Amino acid sequence: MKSFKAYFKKEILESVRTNKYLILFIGIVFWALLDPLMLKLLPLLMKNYLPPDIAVMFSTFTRDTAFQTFLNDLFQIGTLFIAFTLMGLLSNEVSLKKLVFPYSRGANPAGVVLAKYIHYTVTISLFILIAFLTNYFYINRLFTGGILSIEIVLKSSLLYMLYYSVLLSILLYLSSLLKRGIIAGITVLVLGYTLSIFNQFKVVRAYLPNYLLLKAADIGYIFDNSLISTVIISFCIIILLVFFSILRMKKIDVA
Amino acid sequence: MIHITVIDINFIITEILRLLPFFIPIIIIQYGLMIFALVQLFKNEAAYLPKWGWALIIIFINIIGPVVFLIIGKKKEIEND
Repeated sequence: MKSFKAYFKKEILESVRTNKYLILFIGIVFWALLDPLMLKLLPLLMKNYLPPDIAVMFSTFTRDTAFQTFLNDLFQIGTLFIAFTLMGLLSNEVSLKKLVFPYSRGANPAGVVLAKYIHYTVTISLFILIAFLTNYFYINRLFTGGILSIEIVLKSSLLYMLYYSVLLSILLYLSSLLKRGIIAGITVLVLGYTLSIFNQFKVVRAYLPNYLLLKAADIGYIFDNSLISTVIISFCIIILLVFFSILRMKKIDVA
Repeated sequence: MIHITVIDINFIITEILRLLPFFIPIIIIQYGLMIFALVQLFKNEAAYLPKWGWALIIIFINIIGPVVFLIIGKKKEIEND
């Protein structure tokens, strides 16, 4: 517990010093502001340059479709920002020999790994909540129509929080395995984008974490029985990968 | 053939003016981040590129430029030792 608290505080200080909060905030929240405005403005500016059928498609955006567009963009850009900002989560600690002193003072690897994971999960979840609420505010001001409500937005944000918690656990584990953080970052990115392809296949998609994203965009039907297996599997992945990361950090030679 | 009428232009300008307040937070974030990244660049050592190269990236590539600098462009202290 002592290691956890000490490392949690250390993570907060380090995130401020390395501007990680700022980068994650930009990567998640900025698009919540920009997306609805671009959707509103682009058709106006491009009105005379687009073929009529495409122009009609642009002008028929409702609050629901604007929210779905934001979700899609958040997945594509947010994943990129998270993967590259947090790619060196554990590998940097080892390669920059930051663990020599804490380990020599009796720091517990479990405390170190858990502090890192919980700190960034809470941070990302908080930014996701801010982004979703901001986007809801903007969409309500700029678009009409659709059934989007604050309840739907909050449900959807919960699924995104869980998805990014899974992604973070994969990043944490890979970062403990690989010496170079960039490889962990790219692997997570490729994995995140590739798994989305499986959302096309009804048989397997409910067993993969990317199904959370599909359901988050399924306005009106977000929480249904098909999510149970996905949520259970997501939590299992998180627990297993955090556990394996702790095991790995116990074995690693920090000197 | 593209026809832009005076009515179209007036409508577009009116719409842009109506949307202007929504752009204020975006402009604040964008320029705030650019200034912050430039201050960081001049206070710290730069990695991979000379400082003027990073300055160009920060100024001319909106949002992504400052973020890329903050992620990979700032030299880590331990590397400096």
